Formats: sequence, structure tokens, C-alpha cells
Amino acid sequence: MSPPGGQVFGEDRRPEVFVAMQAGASVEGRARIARDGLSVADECLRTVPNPTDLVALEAALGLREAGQISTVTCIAIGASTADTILSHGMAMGADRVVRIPMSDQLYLDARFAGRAIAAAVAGSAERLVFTGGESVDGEAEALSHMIAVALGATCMTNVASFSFSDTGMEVERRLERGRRERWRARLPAVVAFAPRANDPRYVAVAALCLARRTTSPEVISTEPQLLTEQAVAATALRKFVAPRIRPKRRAGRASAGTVGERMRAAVDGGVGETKNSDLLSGPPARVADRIVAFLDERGFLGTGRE
Amino acid sequence: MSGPPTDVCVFVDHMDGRSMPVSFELLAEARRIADGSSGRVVAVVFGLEEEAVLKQLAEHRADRICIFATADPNGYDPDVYGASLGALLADEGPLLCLFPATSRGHDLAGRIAALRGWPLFPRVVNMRLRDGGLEVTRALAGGGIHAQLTPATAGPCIVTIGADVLGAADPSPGRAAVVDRKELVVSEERFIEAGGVMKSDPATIDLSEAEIVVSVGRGMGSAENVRLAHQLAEALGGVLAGTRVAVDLGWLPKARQVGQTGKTIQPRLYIACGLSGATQHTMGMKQSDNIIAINIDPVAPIFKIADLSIGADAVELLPFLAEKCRLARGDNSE
Repeated sequence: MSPPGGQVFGEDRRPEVFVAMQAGASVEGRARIARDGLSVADECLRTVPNPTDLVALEAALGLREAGQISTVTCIAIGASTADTILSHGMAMGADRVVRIPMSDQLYLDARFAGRAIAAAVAGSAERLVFTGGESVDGEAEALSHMIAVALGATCMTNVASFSFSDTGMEVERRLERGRRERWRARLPAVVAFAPRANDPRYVAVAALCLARRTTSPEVISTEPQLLTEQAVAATALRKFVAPRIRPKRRAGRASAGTVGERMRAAVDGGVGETKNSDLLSGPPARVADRIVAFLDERGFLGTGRE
Repeated sequence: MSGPPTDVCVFVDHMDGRSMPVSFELLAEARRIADGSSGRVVAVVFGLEEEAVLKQLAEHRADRICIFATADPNGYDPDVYGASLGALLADEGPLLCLFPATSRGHDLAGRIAALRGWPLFPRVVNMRLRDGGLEVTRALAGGGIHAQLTPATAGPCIVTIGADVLGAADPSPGRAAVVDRKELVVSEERFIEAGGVMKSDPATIDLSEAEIVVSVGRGMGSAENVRLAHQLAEALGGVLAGTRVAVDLGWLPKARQVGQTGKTIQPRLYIACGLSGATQHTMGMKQSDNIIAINIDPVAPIFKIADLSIGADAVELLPFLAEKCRLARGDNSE
């Protein structure tokens, strides 16, 4: 099997990997939202690196240490928030950090962000971008495809493991319930890593402080292009609002019940749908037979044969 | 196409020949939005044509079911799925298309939205019609802030929704839907060569990915007895997990803790051994497809959510159960 299209690099042309990092925000206390709903007070927001981006960075650093890639470059969009996460990337071991200048924004359209990152990466010969496939606000799940389309690259998401192969690269994707699937493709590519695909290396506080003092990101100005792209962002922010939980539907659940039960159902606490199956008891061997029959009936005793 | 778009499409993800439960949540939400826009609910399925599945989708209020026949019902070819579903949505121009926030649902949603330039809203927590258009709500900053967003480009809105976020509605027995068979769009240009689906090694798998989980609580009595549960997990090809108490007692590592302060999981089978079913624990496992509860206390709360309730001492029962499961699986594999 050999994947069609694309380009394969030789050993003498080890690729550079770009790691697209997004600033995550965590709210300290209660978020203070401006009256017009278009901004949130900076004091109540703390910038944190997106954990899955660190997984992507760790994967890139592992490849560099194995001699399979030449350099690891972290790239981020923003102002002070971007500097914060880029210094974290530097402290972890990145060779180079690049910032796309822009005012810090709590919500950034993924299509716009993808185009901006692609514009900064486009000059690289092999165009291989790693990113986190999940983020605290869900935006990362859209970003990888947006970068890929802007770069004309293949996108592979929810990746649990990555390796180069003779014909390009091979990834194992994580599916639900412990399943995996394998994909093969060639460069250029954007690889979005799954949460917990590896354990990002520990960064000592001293190393982080040093990186914050000394990191000076290379600034790539893609301003004219960004202004054009901003006009074609695919989504628009109407306003920020305080979180409100929408009560969930409850199939098979009567609306009656105690106030406590109804409240638990509304906010998803407590037990879910009540089944109240008959209680079986008896000698252990007989009860075990009953459980085995249940497992067999529901197909669990053949699951190892797939 | 005349007039504003009104229909709502739902991509139905499936595994082992059954629709994933989140599909029914999406259909319920699609019905709510379609009723507001006077549109239809269109379920889109790849590779699954069983009568029982189609009946289930109709009973969960799909008006029409579009089926793409595939060579491998369990496989996923992103290039072909993206081209086929993208073309269907472009032809029919629905108001929006809902995708489950599963591995394949996310991938396909992002792929189609990016290629077509359509607005993409991942992990939505609420949505409504406003002035004839769609307004979605998404959680930002780890849920500390919500953002209300609207589409800024033309085309169907692509929305992903996580499992157990909006909830499913009761099915409507006897309801029927129009079945529409579609042809796959296979392009000459292929970017990804997709292999088949494999199972992970239960010994190294992350708890949240496990299909079968055997869980222990204080009722197991000692670390020595927890080995009995481990033997059952091995016999079933499953993973061992536990309550916070089991972790605090040092019987299991923190990574194996299920519940409010541990992991939230949704395996196909959850066997609760010697655990009472405190709210803090059940919050992390109550969405499991099948729950077997083994507890000596006949009024333990875990029995309320169990599909099979066993009033017995787990320590006495587990050796018999592990042995019988081993035998049954051995017989099956011959």
C-alpha cells in the first residue's frame, strides 16, 4: 500500500516541525463581563497553555531527540498571552518561537486563526504542523482542519501515536471504547494530537521563570493578509454571557419526583435513569452462571475475537 | 432552492453495528430546531443498513434517512466521507448539520467546514433560532464564560455536540421515515490511506477509552481481594478501576479512579464490585451501556442504575465468575 500524492523527504532533509499553540484561559473567581458583552475583564482571566498543545510539543521534541526532525518551532497568535505560552514552549525545549502579532482575544475564529498560522508556516519546505486536538474551549478541534486547508495539507486528527515511514508518515487515531485506526499519508500535513497521547515533560518553575525573562519570540507580521482574512471569518461573536446550564432532556424519566431528584436531573448530579432491576442472590456458582448468561446475551464474551 | 434553509441534518456515528447513543441526543435537538424552522430532520448514515437501526432512527424523529453504502461498515475513509457528505449538504442546503463530538464526528465536521468554508461551531452547549438564523452558545475558558456566536459566512452551519450534554428524548414507537440511498463520491485525489479498526491493549489503555471496566470499592475489603477483580477484568479483556476510597486506600493508582474527582467514563460494560454507588462515583459511570452491580447490601444505591443487580459478597463471587468467563471466552474462540 503506498499513499498517493504528496512528497517524501530523504534523510538529508529532515523536516522542521511547527507546533501551533493556543492560549487557554481560566477564570479566577467570577468572570466580569463588560456591559456590551464584548469583553471580559483581564484581571479575572489567567493564561494557561492548552494541555493538549503540550502533548503535541512533547511528540515533536521526542522526534527531534530521535534525530528524525531538525528543529521544533512553537507558533502562537496574540500579544502577552502568546508570549506566556511561547515561553512555556521554550522552557520545554523548543528551538525557536514565533509570534503572530495581534491583540489578545478571548474568542478567535478558527478559520481566521488557521489562515494566520498557515501564512506563517507556508515558507517552510516540508510544512509539518503539530497541534493539540482538544482545548479547554473546544476551538482547537476546529483549528487543525483550518490550517490544513489553508496550507493545502492533509489533516489527521485525534492522533495517539505518530511515526515516519518509508512512504511518508503513519498515525494511530484514537476512537471511542478503546478502538484505534491507522492512517497513512504524506507531507505536507497537520497532525492534531489526542489528549493524554503522551506525558509532556515537567517544566521546573525556575526554568519557566528563566524562559519568561529571556524568551524573545520572532515576530512574523502577516498583517495585510490577516486584515483580509478577518473579514472572512466564518463565525462572529455576538456577546459573552455568564454560564447558564441548560436542563437536559431525560428519556424515560417521569417529571415527578422529589425536588432534590428533579434538581439533580437538571444539573446532572446524582444517579441518572433509574433501572431498579430485580435483585438476584443465591449460591455463588449459580449467580455466576446468571451473570455469564447476561454477558453472553449482550455479546461480551466474544469481544476478544475481533 | 427557494426560501431560507429549514432542514436539519444529523450525522449518525456508529460502532459495532449500533448507533452511538449521542446520535439520539442529536436527533432530539435536530427535531426541536426543525420544528422551529418548519423543516425536516435528515439522518445521514454511512455503512449501516440494518432494518432495526433505521427503525430506531425513525422512532427518534428522523423524517428522512440518507444511507451511503460502504464496503467496510466499520471503516472510515475521511476523503470519501468528507466528499460525499459535503456534496449532499451542498445540494440540499440545510440550515445546519449536527455531528456528535466523537473521534469521527469531529474529524468529519472539521473537514467539511474547512473545505467548504462553512461556519463551524465545535462543542456547542445550546442553540436557538434567532431572526431566522442560528445562534449557538459555546463554553469558553473551561466553562467559566459562555460565548454566543452566529455564522458569518453562507452555507450550512456545522455544529458538534458532546455526549450527555443536551440529553435524548423518548422514542416515538411506530414512527416511520423515508429511506433515501445515496452514492458515495469517490475522488481521484486521495490524501489519506485509512486502515481498519483495531482494539487497544487493555493493560495500557486509558480508562476513558476502555470498553469493559471492572470497578472496586471499599466492600472488597483488602488489596489482596482487589486481585480477584483484576482477574475478572483480565478474563473479560477489560480494565480495572475503582472508587475514590479504593484509590485513597492505595489499592489502585489515581489514574484508575472513576467519579467526580476521577474520570468520567462511558464503557459498554461496567461491573461494580463492592461499591455502594455514592453520587460522587455514579456521576462518573452512570452513562455506561450495561451496568452489573455486585453488593452484599440489598439497598445499595448502585442497584438503582444497574441492569443486573446481584446481592452477593463480591469476594466470594468473583473467583467463580472469572473462571466461568474464561471458560466461556475460551469456548467461543475455538
